[in-house]
Parts: sequence; C-alpha cells; structure tokens
Amino acid sequence: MPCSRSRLSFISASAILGLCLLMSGAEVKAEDDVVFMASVDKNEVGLNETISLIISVKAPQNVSDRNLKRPKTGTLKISSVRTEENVSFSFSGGSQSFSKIQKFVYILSPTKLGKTQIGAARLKFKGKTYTTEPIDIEVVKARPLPKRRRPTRLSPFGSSSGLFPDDDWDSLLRRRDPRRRPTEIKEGDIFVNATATPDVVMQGQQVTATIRIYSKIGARIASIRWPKLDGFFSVDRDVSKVKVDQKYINGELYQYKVLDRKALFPLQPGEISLGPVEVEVEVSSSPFFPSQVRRLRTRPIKIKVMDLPAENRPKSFQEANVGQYTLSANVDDNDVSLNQPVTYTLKLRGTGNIQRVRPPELPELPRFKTFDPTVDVQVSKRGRDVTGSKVFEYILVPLASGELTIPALEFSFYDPKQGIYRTLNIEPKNIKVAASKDDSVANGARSGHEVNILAGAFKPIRYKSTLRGYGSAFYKHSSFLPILVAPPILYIMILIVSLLRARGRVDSVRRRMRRAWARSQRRLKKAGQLAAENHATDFFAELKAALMDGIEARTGLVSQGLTLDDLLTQMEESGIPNQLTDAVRAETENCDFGRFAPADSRGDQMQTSLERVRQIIKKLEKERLRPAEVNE
Amino acid sequence: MKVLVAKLTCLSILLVVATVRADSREPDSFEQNLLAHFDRANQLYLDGDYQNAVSRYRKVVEAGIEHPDLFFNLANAYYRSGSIGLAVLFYEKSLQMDPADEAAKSNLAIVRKELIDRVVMPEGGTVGEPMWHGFIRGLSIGWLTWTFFIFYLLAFAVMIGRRLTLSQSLNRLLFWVNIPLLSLSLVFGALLASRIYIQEKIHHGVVVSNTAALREGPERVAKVLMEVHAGLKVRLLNEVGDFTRVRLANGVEGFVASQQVGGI
Repeated sequence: MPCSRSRLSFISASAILGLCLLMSGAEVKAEDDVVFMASVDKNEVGLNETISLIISVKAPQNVSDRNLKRPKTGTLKISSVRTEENVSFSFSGGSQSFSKIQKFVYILSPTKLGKTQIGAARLKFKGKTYTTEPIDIEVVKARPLPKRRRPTRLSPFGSSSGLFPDDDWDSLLRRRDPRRRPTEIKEGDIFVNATATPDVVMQGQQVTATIRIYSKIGARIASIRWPKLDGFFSVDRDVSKVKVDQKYINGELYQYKVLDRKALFPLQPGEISLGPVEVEVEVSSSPFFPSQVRRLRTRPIKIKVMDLPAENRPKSFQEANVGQYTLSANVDDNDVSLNQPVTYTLKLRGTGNIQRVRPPELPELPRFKTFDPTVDVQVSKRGRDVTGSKVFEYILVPLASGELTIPALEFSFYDPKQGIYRTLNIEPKNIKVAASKDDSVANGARSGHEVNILAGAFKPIRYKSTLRGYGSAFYKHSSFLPILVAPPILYIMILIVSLLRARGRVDSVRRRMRRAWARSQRRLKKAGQLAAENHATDFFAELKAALMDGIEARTGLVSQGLTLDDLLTQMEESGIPNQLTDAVRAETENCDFGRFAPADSRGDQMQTSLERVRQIIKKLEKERLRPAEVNE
Repeated sequence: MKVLVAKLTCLSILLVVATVRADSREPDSFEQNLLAHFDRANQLYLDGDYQNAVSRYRKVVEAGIEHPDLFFNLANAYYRSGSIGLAVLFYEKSLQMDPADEAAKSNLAIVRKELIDRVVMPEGGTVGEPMWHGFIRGLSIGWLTWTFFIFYLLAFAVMIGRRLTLSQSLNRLLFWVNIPLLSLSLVFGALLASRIYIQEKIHHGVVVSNTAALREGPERVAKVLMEVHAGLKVRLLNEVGDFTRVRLANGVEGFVASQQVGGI
C-alpha cells in the first residue's frame, strides 16, 4: 500500500530528525499526557463495504499491544489489523518535546443487517486504565461503492501522500469532533516565499523563480497557482527530489521545502512584475483535529530586463540566442555516389533557452536536393539552469558529381555571464560525389589514383554570340502572306493568259474566214457586172479571186503562196471530196483560159462560169470545216 | 506573257531578298550597345557575380532582344544565383526558339532534378497535353517555315513550268517531279499550321516564386488546393484579375497569382 510506505518513510525521517536533535544536546522533554481514543470512518455501512476502526494512542513512550484490549465488534467481523506509528515534535520557548502516536487499525466487514455496536477498548499504561466510548454502527443493504479520491498535491515534507493522506487515518483526522476544540493556527506558523534570481537580467537571460513553503505545522498542498507569465518564456523545473530542510527564522525553527520552480526567459526589455503566487494548503495543528484550508500568497517580485547591447553585435546574431552554447557539425559520409543521400548534422548544446535558440540555417544548396531538417530538442528537467541540446538533421541528396561543398556556417550568441557576444564558426564540409556506384571514389582510392569525374556537367554559357538570326517568327513578318499567296496567284494568272491566248487564236481564223466570205460575195457580184458589160479578162480574174475567197471562207485554207496542186492537196487532206476538188481545179483552169483568150468568151459562157463558181462555193459550205481543225 | 511571268517571279524574289537583307544588315549603335551589355554580363558570369550578370542580361531582354543564346545564358545565371523557377522559365524560352538545343535540354534536366513538385498522373493515363502537341512543339518554327516554303515554291515553279513548256516529254517529267513536291509542301504546311496554332493558342508558364498557393478561385480568400513551388511548368488558360487560371500536367486546375507565374 503506497500510502503506508510513504508514511513509514515520514516516520523514519521524523525519527532521524528527533535523533539528530537529541544528539545536538537540545533539551528534549517527553509529554506526560496520554490520549486514547477510538473512531470509525463511518457509522453507516453497506453489506458490501468495510469499516475502519482506528484506535489511537498518543503517549510519551511506546505502548505494547498486550496492554491494549480490543473492543467487541458485534456483528462486524475483523478482516485485518495493522499498526502505524508517528512521532511528533514541538518547539516552545527554546525547549523541545516529543510524543509518539500509535494507531491500531481494524478493518471490519458487516455480516448482518441492522444495528450493532463496537464496544469500548481499554488501555493500561503506567498503572492507569483508559477507556474509549462505544460506537453505534448501522449495517444497511449493499450499495455502489464510491470512488477513492486521489491526493492532488505533494506535501511540503517530502512524502508523496502528504502529511494527511486520503486514507482512513486522514479521514479520521478530518472528522470534526464536536467534543474537542481545535488548537488555533497562527499566521506565522506557515507561509510561502517567492524568489527570482537574478532580478536584473539581460533580455533572453534566465531568471529562476522559486516558491518555498515554511511551516511549523503539518500541511498538505492543495494547489499552486502562478500568475500570468506575460513577457516570459517559462520552462518548468522538476523539484520532486528536493528534500525537506529546516531553518531558524526569528528564533523559531521552520521546516521548509521548495514547492515549485520555473526558469523564466524575458522576451523584451523593461521592468516586468511577477505577480503573487497563490498556494492553497490544508493545515492542522494536530493529527487529532480536522484540517483547515489556508490560501497563502507570495509577494510580487520586480525583475528588471535590460536590452542586449548594440555594440559589437554580430550580423548573424538572433535575438533568442542568449546563453552559453557550443556548436558542432558533421556529415555521416564524405564519399558518396550521385543521388545517394548524406546526413548533415548540426548539434547545438549549452545553457539557455534551448527551445527558442536559433542555430544557423543551412543556405540554399543548388547542387543538392535538400529536405526540411528533423529537429530534436532535449532539455534537462532538473537543476536551476536550463541546459540541453538541439540537433538538426538535414538530408542532402547530391545532384551533381564531383567535389561538392556545404558552406561554412556562423552562429552568434550573447553570453550574459561574460557580457559579450560570441561567434562560433563551422568549417565547410566537402563531399566527394561519384557519378555512379561503379565509379565510386573508393575505387579510385583502392588503386591509389585520383578519380576525375566527368559526368553530369552543367553546360556553360555561350560566351560569343551575335544575338542575331532569331528575330520574330517569319510567319509574323509582313512578307509572309505575300510570299505565301504569290505562287498560286502567279500560276492562276499564267493559266488564265494561256486560255485567253488559245481563244484569241481561234477568233482570228474565224474572222479571216468571215472576211474572205464577204470578199467572195463582193467579187461574185462584180463579176456579174463585168459579164454584163462583156469584159471577159476582168470577169475571169474576178471570178477566180471570188472562188479562192470562197474556198478560204468555207475551209479556212489560204490559197495565197500556194500552187493549185498544193491547195487542192490540202483540201483533200482536210476531207473535201475529190469531186469537189476536181470541180475547183476545172473552174480555176477555165478562169485562167478565159483571162488569157478573152476573144473566145461570150456573154452566155461567162454567165455559165459564174453560176458554176457559185455552186462550188455552196457545196464547199456544206463541207464546212471547224476552225480548230483548220488551225491545228 | 513571258514578260508577265518574269515580272511576277522577280517580285517574289525581291520580297524574299528584302526579308533576308532585313536580318543580315549591319548592327547599328543600339545593337552594339546591347551586345556590349551581353558581353559584360558574360564576363560577370565567369567572374562568379551572378546577380549582376542577371541584371545585365535582363537589360538586353528588356530591350526586346529574343535569342536562344541570351535566354540560355540568363537561365544559367539565374540557376547559379539560386532562382530555380526563373532558370526553368528561360531554359523553356530558349528551347521554344530552338527546340534542338541540346545544352539547354541538358541544363534544364539538371535543374528539374532540384524541383520540389512532382506531378502525379491520375490512374488510367494522362489528361494533360496530348502527345502530338509535344511532338509539334519539338519542331523549330523557323525550320518548319523555310522547309515548307522550299517545297511550296518549287511545287508551284514546276506547275508553272509545265504550263509554259512546249515539249511533251519535259511536261511529263515535270508532272512526276511535281507529285512529291506537292505532297511534301502539304505535309510541311500542315505541320507549320499546327505549330503556329500551338504557338499562338496554347500558352505555358513556369512558377517563378519559391512557393505559390493554387487556389480554387481568383481571390486571396479562396481555399488553397495545394502549394506549388518554383520551376513547375503549367498551362496558362486565362487571366482573371490578378490571378491566372492554370492547369497542371495531370489535369488539376486552379488559380495562381499572376505575378508568381512567368509566361514562356
């Protein structure tokens, strides 16, 4: 049972304290008063519950259980028995006295419903008999068991359960006994005190705020309430291992203990007031009387925070970097292959606000792929000063082969103890990166030759360039469209001209034929007039010309420059029947004869010749040829 | 007729020559000044002063000069000075002008390894840019233009020759020559038209700020779908106020502040 163990430790501590006091030669006097009492934690008990009967004996010396006669318990059955001891000291007028308290705790279980009674217990001590009062108990039906309340705060005296723990003994003490008046507790019997060291600090420097309780009486800490810590970054300190001590104050001996401690880091310069800390305690002047709740307050504390000096402040200094620090960096592997990650670890150790301190940031590394670092912060919980470490782990993936460098880093902080700024430097780290695992630098090292990596090179700039030849795209140029449409337009124009030319050629033949026809008609008419006037020579000349024009008008063949045979051959080739060509030949020869022998020609013969030529021309018209055929 | 054909042919040749001469004229003082800036920027780059090299290159760019060498050098300077997003943007610009530039491709691949964003394609295939877009985009617009014009002009020259020739055998020969010429001019004409369409209608951009919020709507209070980072290539759909609607390669769409994206 943890409560019992803690109580025993308190008893032993008290015994040692008593022994120390005895050895110091102080006047110690045992109290002669004997207090003998019996009590229960409840008068009504369910069938499924137990009841604690506590018989307490306060006497100046040990009481043997043989001198104690236990009471009759009626229908209650004794389940277990245990004993506890306690030694109390009192200081009065420079003399000290002590007494011993023995408790006999009986756990009783009801066996039957209804009323019963715990009888009187008897104690024989130094020839006197002491008796307790009987206690009435009512046993009721079984009921749900209530939950046990856990202790809320530590006792100032080093016991985790406190002087008045929530067990049956504690409950017994809290019961108000109307037959007894509690001893008065003075204001100076218990008080709390707050200190802040140092109270003049630089911005970011640690201030240690400690709450201590001083007491001459038993007490149990219910709660500690800190004021708002605006303007501070606070870090809780563990004071569970701090032991109880004692101290004379104004001639009176107090036991005292550190209740709580915080490390405060002021965030801005100026005068900052730390308001009162409230401590709620349950106190009792005697274990036999019920406890009282007291609310204790510390006095406010003023802390003066000075600004960090501007003189000699390094450029790399960050506001939160106040304290004493060391910085180290290392790379887990200096010889890697391309894309093989390496871990760059930056470790900051020291005293100060380790959670806020900002180590140097790794600059952008264009030849590495970097990831956000993992940050591990370790802060010590014990001790006045906040110490710890902050470790940044960067994963870097080399993206180029060759010798890559992680640049130097600089870290500055203000050392409040020395009152100066300090700067720490991290040397650059070189990493040899091979193009592949096969080309690893290790291979080079094995053969003893330097390896020259020639892979993944970044292409250099174009040093010489005329910056010409790449104007805006040609399709945006004003000449793009003309050049695009010119060829088809040119081709279409040529096509049109060709067609026009062909048509023009056909038209000229037809026009010539039309003119020849008109000419033929005119000549025939004139020939008729010449025949009437009997001009034979002129008549036959005109008649032959009319025949030739007629041939040209109807066939398109031009007789000019051709012999008669050639003309007739062309006519035959053009499909003119032989009968007609023969007629043309005969009439042409007749006209030639008439021209050169006009005396033989009479008027009726000329009329007959005229009529034959007309018939020939008419027949030629029926054999009309197409101009194209004529042309081609 | 022959005179007319000769005149038209001469006119066409004059147009081409005028175009070529416009590109091959002697540099004036303004251009010489820009070239001096370019050379100075190169020297600054070689001296390791990348920030100043960037500002010099930018002056040349802002003067209206567009050249793959200039964009390539500027991208290198951006990369060396740690601006990965802008480095990607100018490598892309360089490659758009000269898709066959192996150095730009190589450096862009190196820079892309350092990008944070990895676009995860949806299951069942891509929903982003069609394959043929990528193929067409890989062809130089200048090379396509001149190749097309060579076949196009030759084809028409042969057609005109056929009209003018009197020889039947030559006419027949030109007919057979004309068939492949016309086919090739049609193919290259289609490719050129597609390339111009993609150039003019489908715009891409690159995220240039280190981080940019991809939002559901064109407002600062709109819900953030995801965070994108420098160097991510996106398709620019349209601009709404201070925001640009973008589409990722996997089809995810959202709005990004326009100043955080650079158009290629």
